[in-house]
Amino acid sequence: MAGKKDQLSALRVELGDLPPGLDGLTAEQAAHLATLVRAAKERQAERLAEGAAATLSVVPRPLRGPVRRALGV
Amino acid sequence: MSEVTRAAALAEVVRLAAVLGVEPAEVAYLEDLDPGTVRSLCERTIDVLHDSGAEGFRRIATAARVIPAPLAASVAERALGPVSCALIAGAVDSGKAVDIARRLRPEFLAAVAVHADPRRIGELIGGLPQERIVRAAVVLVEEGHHVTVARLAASLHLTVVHAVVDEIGDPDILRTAFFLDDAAHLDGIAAGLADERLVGIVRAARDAELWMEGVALVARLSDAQRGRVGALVDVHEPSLRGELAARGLHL
Repeated sequence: MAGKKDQLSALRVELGDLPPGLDGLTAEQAAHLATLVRAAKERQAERLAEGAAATLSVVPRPLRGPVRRALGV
Repeated sequence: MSEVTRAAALAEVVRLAAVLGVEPAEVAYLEDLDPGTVRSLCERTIDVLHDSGAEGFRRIATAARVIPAPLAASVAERALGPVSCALIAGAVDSGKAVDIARRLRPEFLAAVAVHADPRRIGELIGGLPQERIVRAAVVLVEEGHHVTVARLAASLHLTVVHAVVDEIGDPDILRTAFFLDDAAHLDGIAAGLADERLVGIVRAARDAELWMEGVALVARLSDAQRGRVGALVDVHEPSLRGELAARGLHL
């Protein structure tokens, strides 16, 4: 199993610079956090895509063209 | 770890869990860390989420510009949801953002506030009508989001804060004040309270068994306000002086 420093590196991949004080995390906890951050990013991307599509269904037809262009869809 | 530190750490864990979209129990191991570390971790996570979604936020913010504010508010509630709106809010022109936000239902505004980054929406919050802020704050308090209210209070004029204080009970004042960062702001709030209200809030530490929150509140007050509390306690609740002293707070 990778050492603690490697697992904090996995968290650093997701978050970039880490705040001080995370050395108290175990390797498993750091890896778990990295997984949660990655999942949050993925969910956000899905939510934005769904939100863009739903927006077009809410906007009245005359405005859909400008909105579609703004959304880039 | 002291009780106060653990309570502060727990509050930060709850907030980070909301940002990550998980139950607090799933990241309970973070409660053993310093609260400042968890808070920094939460802010870093929010920054990263903002960065990763920046292009999408920009496009939706652009779309908000080309439609009237009432329609944009409808889109926000019906299509985007509070989590996306919380992240997008900072990307929308502030004037338009205020115009949209003031049309949102208080319940929705409160849900947005839970997920929003106070560092990015201070101007937006400050631009909202007082009545709208108060109603959303009441919803947040009723749902137990005292940390959110405390963090957002920093962006509010004292008159608005006092309007919120007028609408919520003494125990909730204690729970919210516990998370206020700025002691000077806290002192300003206390200074604007009527004597009866201030005594009531301190009394709630005993009546609602919120001793930790009560001691933390009074301990952070200026000498002038703490002296005022002492004088009021001596007149209205003499036994409280001893009860607070037993918990390490000498008025």
